Amino acid sequence: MTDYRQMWTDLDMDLDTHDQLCAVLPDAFGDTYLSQDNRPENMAFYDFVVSEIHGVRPAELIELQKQGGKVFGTFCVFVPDEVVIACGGAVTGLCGGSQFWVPAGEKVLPSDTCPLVKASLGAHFGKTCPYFSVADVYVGETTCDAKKKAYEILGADKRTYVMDMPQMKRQKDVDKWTDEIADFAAEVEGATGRALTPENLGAAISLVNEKRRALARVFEARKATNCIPISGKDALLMVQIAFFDDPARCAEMANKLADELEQRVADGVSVFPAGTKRILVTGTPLAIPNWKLHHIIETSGAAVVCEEMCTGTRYFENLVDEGADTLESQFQALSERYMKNNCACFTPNPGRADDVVRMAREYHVDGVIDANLKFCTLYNVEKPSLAAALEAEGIPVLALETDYADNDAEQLRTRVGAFVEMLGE
Amino acid sequence: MEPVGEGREGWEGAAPDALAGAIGPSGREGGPTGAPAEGAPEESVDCYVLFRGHTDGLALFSALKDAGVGARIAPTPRAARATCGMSLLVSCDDEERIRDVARECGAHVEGVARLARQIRPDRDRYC
Repeated sequence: MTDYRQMWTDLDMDLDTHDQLCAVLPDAFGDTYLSQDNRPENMAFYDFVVSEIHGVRPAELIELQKQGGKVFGTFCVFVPDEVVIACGGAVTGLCGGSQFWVPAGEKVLPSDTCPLVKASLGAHFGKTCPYFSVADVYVGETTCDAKKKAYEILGADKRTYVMDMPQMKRQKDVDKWTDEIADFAAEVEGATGRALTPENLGAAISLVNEKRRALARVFEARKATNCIPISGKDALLMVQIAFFDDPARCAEMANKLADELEQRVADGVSVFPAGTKRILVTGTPLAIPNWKLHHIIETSGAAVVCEEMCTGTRYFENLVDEGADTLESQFQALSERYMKNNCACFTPNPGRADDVVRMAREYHVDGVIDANLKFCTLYNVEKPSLAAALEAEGIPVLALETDYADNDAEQLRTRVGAFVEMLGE
Repeated sequence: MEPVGEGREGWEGAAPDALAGAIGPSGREGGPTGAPAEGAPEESVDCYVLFRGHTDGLALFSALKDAGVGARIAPTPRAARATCGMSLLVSCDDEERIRDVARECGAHVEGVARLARQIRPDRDRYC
């Protein structure tokens, strides 16, 4: 294999500790993904990305830096990638999805903090993730309390720009986010040394919209009722990789996968047997390599056919209006698109329940699993209202709370298995 | 380069679905790309083709697909080699054919590791 140890050394990573993650990833990936039958052939690209996950893409980002480009590490889908891309930069999602990073995060954060935030800080301070080491700038946002305070800690160690996320969705909040995007654009111009123009921002908006459309095509195929052409695990992996891959390549590979899935639907080719219960998963994001819940669901007699979350439909739904031709109107168009995200960080947030009910119908699900990471007050508090909305529609729902550790896997299997069995009655 | 060894001998606690395997792109049965053949021994052995770099790996993967030989891209198991990167998970029955295809397409194969089946969907050990 290409020896990336020199690259990691140059990034000042802790190679010995990082190697512990490298040692367990193959088994975790093999157990989860390579145990599947009849996967779409075009999942080979995503298997390759995971096989070289700390090598190929970081090397590409370093090459971009050698050519004068800048790498922005982000932690939220509210951050407009388009602005960075327009200034010749690259965006890489940095949300941590592994228990491996949590202990290092608990050295700087209270243990009763969301595991995603702990893992993210753990990856930074432990120097065990090349994407963190490569990033020139971190971009944070004030979506939740844990993140808000975590960025103070990160910012003391590395250049971190924080966008002030509105708490509500009134017109003045959309206008506020427009202003935040304009301020972020100034920051990006300063960091990259490149001027933002309506032309380059327009091209970036078009590129990211194309990526969104490609991802949406894959999800559209999952609505088929005659078959399940792709597992939820595979669709999740595609979205997880979309957070850090080159956007043009992401669109290309997602379109190839969608082409194959559409043919599978036409031919009735299914990954799961007929009668497999269809599940929509909603809740907090499932950052790579968090595959635990999907694997448990899909080895318990059910298939995940949709994810209503940031690592799902919220990542690509709604396009940015490409009709704007001034920077001010483009910032407004970006804001209007991004503010449509029905994250639990907003109050009130009735749109999320509407989305989940709508998607449950569109994806023909038998049940919904509402799963959030431990210590997430926002999504935890929304559980009862979401459950009430689903029950009013006659849609069964199972509420779960978990983290990245392995020790609750059996409990989750028991609960998921009982839920799936109940769906069959 | 780390030595390529035989890996762990024997197979412990194989779950039935771990042994069921998958039908790979070639649609062939046997080994990691299909259900165990009738009369096959209980212990399943898989082969991992190892490479100096991913360029060789991707070239061979494409050539094998064209030749109708089943192969899946996989992170190299630690039992095969102490450094990470892509490998090709194949049926050991295809080793000679794979080496022929590699020579034909110019992909350099560093070695082929024979390992007791590594895939256990019931392990519930995530990373």
